[in-house]
Amino acid sequence: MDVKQRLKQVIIEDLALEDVCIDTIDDDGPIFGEGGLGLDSLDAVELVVIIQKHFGVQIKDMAKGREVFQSLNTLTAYIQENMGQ
Amino acid sequence: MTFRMAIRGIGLVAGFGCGNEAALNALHNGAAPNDVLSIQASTGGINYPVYQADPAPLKDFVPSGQLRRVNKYSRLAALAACLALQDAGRNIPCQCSDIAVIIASGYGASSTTFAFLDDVILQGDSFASPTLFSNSVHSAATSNVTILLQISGPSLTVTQFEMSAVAALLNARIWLEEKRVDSVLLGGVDQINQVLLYCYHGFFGDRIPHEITPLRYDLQTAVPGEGAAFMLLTADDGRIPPYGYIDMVSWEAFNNCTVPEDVLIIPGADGHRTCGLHYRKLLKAVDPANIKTFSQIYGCMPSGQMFDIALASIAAKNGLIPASFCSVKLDANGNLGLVHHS
Amino acid sequence: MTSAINSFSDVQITGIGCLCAAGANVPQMMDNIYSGVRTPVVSEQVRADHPELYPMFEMPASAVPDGYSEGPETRRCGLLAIAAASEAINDAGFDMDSLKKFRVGVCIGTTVGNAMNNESFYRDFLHNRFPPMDSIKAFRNANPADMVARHFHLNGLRQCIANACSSGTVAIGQAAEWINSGLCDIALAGGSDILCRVIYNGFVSLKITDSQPCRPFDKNRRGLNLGEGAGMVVLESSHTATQRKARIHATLCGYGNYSDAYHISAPMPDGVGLEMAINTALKQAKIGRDYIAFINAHGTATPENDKVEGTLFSRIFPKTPFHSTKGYTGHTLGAAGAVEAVITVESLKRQMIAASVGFQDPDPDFDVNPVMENTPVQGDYAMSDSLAFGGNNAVLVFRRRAQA
Repeated sequence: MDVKQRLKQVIIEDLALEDVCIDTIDDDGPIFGEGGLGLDSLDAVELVVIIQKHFGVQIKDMAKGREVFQSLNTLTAYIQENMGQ
Repeated sequence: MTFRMAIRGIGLVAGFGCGNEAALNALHNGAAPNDVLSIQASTGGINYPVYQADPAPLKDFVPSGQLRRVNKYSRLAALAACLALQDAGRNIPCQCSDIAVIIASGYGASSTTFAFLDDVILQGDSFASPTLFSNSVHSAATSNVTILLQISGPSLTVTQFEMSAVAALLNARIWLEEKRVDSVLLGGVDQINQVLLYCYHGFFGDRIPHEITPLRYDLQTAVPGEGAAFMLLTADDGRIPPYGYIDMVSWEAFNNCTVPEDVLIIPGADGHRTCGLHYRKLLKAVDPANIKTFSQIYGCMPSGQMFDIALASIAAKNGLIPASFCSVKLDANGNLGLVHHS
Repeated sequence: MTSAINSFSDVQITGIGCLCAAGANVPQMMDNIYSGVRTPVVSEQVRADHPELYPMFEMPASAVPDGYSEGPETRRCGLLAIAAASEAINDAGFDMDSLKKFRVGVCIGTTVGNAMNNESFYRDFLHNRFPPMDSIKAFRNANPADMVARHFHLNGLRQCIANACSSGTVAIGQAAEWINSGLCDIALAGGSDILCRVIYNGFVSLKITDSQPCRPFDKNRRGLNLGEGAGMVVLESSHTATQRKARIHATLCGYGNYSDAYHISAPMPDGVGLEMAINTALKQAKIGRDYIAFINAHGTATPENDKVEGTLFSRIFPKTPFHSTKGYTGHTLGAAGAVEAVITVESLKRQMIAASVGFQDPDPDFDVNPVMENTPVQGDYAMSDSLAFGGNNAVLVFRRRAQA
């Protein structure tokens, strides 16, 4: 399974997003805030742990987090760049 | 004149189900442990009968999207709180600031603490979950109830093991009497988990009870239970409350206390032998016909006195017991809580 | 619509006690605070595996009570509470015998003190090493309110308040209410909390800890530093204090408690709950905002918390001097409100508040700044506020003892 697909799956499962369908997520759309997946600041720090757990990739602080959490695509790219390091 | 609190609504969730109909059914027909949990002890695998509570019906009151991060500890409390508010004819969500939320818990959100530690121990410190941590504090149930029900009044979480319920009640009475708020949503909540059962086994050994016999004071028959019992209380404003009044709450020293006469006594005896022997001593002058227990309906938990009062109030409303009764709960430290109802 | 609170009868503070990283007792703590001294450390005892190390305001070995390090960790909150209570009781002119003659209530705020978070027990349980019940027995005997009551041979009402970060403030407020309603004559009230790995890992995971000494209200603040300690006060009714001819430190004349009903870990940005708690406390004290000589803010140094207070103070206390003392003590969680009550009472007596250490550059998001130097204050009233995880807001208003 590719990184993006796996990423969507773990976000839905680990954040218990029952109402979100994996196939209808807008990959370029915002993850947080209005029009996003309905996630908030607590989800953001939880997402850091989720990424670490499933992909072994660290996000050092929330300044970095805000940068890479802009969309599924930006997050996928960051994970792919940093996997296996 | 003593200040008395009117009980306007009651909500319960426990092994017998949830809601007052399920509670009344349990009062009529009894309620046995409804589940079995397994643990590993040094002597091998042990199966423990328990009273396990299911908060799923909370989705009838709160959209499930709002519940995704809410732990079972909080869901149990929130469900019982919703049932009590509904029973009292209040709106849900409340969207008000004139209700206070006061919650008593013996062990708090222990299951969430253990889940947090699972990640830390099995994967490492960096895998600690901030969501689990936020929900692992004792106050998580109170916070989640205020958030889900949109109650912005005062809030308080008290924890004093078996004295938690009377401690909470004393604070509720003060807040109503001084008119800090118009109503208090008062509840008790406790959970069970494998660690708790492991401790039961560690203390009480391989003889696993299947039935609580509270009045067999010298036997160890405690069966762990979980759940939440809530009441909506107001000052006595002249309107007759459906569940009567709490007209006296007091904290006593066991050695100095005599239970009131000519009233039904509801001891909080729940099968723990150490406390059982204290109850026996305390109640030796009481006619056994004037003693009734409820713990065999919901199980053994530190905040159980909240269940005793709630169930007894439902029983009284339905003519099963007199309206005049006194709930008596003691702990192993010589403290005793008396709650008189009329 | 909320009914107005009838009245809050004044309750006298006749004894104070405190121990934390800033000092082993009240005089030491106040000396250090007014000297601008702060000593956060990277703990040797509480360690975790993270890319960064986060300093904490750990109590030095010289400041902890006897038997502290040797006994089970689960008893430490209670031991700190006993130590602070001892100082407060002596300060109030009691000894154990004279105290026992009264009906004494004990009300203690804590987070760690009640939690079944014994990591080594659970680790053994998880790995099927079948740990014995010793630490569980210790836990059942370690409720801090019980420990204080037992230590001083008190038979009355005792309870622990678990309101997260506002517990210490709430415990003092509730205990005052007990006295006013006649549940007890005297109350020992306050809070106690200790550093531990669960708390450390939890706050690090929330990414609200600073790897530098914390900077409350500063533009560049990054988060809190954890701390530990205990603060306790002796409360009594005016009648009892007068009869005893007790020396009064200050009068507690207002207690507000409201909830954000907003989020499990973030404070409500517009501070409505905090404002309601402030208004209630002021109303009970029968004063307007202008009478408040200074505020001891919650001021944890997280971006969110300080913005709430900074924004609210800009609007309703634009000219009132304020400080955060968490730069000296760290965030002591359940103890914080009590430690800060003690500091507020002392500051009110001395008519001087300590510099808000850690603050340097104003945050453009709000219009007020904490004091940068020790600052004389003039006035009879002071306020201390606490904002808890999960949204509880608690406020105490104190009145200076009438000057001869």
